[in-house]
Amino acid sequence: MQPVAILGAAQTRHVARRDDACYSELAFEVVAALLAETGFTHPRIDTVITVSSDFSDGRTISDMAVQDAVGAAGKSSSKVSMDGAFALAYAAARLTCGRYRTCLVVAHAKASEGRPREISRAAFDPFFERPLGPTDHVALGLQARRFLARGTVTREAVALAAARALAYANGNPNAHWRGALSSREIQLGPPVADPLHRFEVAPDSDGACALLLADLDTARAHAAARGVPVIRLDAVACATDRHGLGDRDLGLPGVLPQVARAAYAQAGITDPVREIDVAEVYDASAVQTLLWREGVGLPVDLLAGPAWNPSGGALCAQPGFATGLVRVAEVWRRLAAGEGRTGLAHGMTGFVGQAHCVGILRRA
Amino acid sequence: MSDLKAPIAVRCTPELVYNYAAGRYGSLFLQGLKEGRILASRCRRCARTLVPPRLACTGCFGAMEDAVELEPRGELLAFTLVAFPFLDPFTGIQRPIPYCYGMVRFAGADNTFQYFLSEKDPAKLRVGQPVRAVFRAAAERVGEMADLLYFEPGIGG
Ligand SMILES: [Zn+2]
Repeated sequence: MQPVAILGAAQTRHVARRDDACYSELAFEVVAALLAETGFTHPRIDTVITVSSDFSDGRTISDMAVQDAVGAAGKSSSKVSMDGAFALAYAAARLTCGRYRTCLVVAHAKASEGRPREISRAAFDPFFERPLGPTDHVALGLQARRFLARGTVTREAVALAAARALAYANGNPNAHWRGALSSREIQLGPPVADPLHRFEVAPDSDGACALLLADLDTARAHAAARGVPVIRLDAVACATDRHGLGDRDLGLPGVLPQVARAAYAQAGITDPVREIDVAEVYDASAVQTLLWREGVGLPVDLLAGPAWNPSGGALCAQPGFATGLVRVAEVWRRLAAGEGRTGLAHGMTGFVGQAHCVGILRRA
Repeated sequence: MSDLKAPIAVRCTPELVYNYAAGRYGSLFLQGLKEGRILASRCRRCARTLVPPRLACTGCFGAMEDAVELEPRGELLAFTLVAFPFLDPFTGIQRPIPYCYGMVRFAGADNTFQYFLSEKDPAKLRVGQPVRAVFRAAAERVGEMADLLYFEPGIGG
């Protein structure tokens, strides 16, 4: 694809409940922060993509309620009702078509306002699955069993991944969960989605995230004027797998390997272990922290290759469909700060990773 | 596959409950109702006044920073009849129908406010008619939308 650039990223702190702000106010908060950070004003935003879930917001056409808050009135705006990482593909398409120079992407979620388990259950087949009581957590438990049954990693390694995420999150001011727990303490904690325990399953968070994208000419002018590096989006790839839990092997990374290969090919990456400096993936469970590594072609050993979910990942903050966009924001922030040159950001939608999206960011 | 002779459907009753935060601005408005006041937000940049109050200005998309009180009377700009039965989301009980639903422009506001009207017959209403807000008795107000009962025809302009 023709590269575009990410000029800035902003996110809220992710917490269990934001009583002080309704969801459009969360969106306003990140847009105001992003405009302040980049020095852009509303008239310089050409097009807007918002990311939201009607079910989660409890509001039909939930995107229309945030249009004032994101300053979209009078502009071409559209919506992604999937994980926010997929909005990267949409934003890149809008910019490369040549009609727009700048694109604002805004995702919000207030998990505290709805009932995430009930809402997830409503996505299952009404005849054959829903009466059984499946939820996103039930699917994570089934996936964990399939993954562990392969014998490639131990139960201990999964708990260690969760402990490591909490420790990383101690350095992330936006994280919902942080702490210092041993893998043993985690395995003795309350079960959430057998065999997974608390802290091995991502929390339900209130939060929002916004990115500003632009074509390369605009990005270069912006970088020169403000003395900041150009962070390009060199690749974005996505694919969807079969829907039914019974129609995929949940212990395998599904379509993620093919998505990662497509992204690497677009970005000219031949050796991801050596070439990627930082990676942030949407890990809804500590099993996924490990499984998505395999999916993007990295060794199981968490210490090999790029910094892996150094923010703590989704395991420490999961604001609904904003979760994947937060991965992009985290990678952007680290590259902008000089913590590496190439980064991978991943998002997913659908139970236990039915659809995956991978973006490759590079500091020019 | 053999021909389908008796297609089957299942009835499904999902239970979806939401616990919405009114936020800083919504809470301010509800607190105002408890005091029998109509509060609006005003933008310092473009001087727009909006009710109910909200963070994002619809004029300049900046943050609305000031709260102002409006006179509890205005002009009826539109009305219609609600005859569709529904459960009141706050009580779970069906609201008696039919009734009139109106859009009221408070003096000093740049937008219109939607609410119940006391009049049940649209033939007795007209666009441009003055209306005034009627609240519950002070002792019964608790800081919820229902503290504002309805708008009724007002006297004078
Ligand atoms: Zn304004």
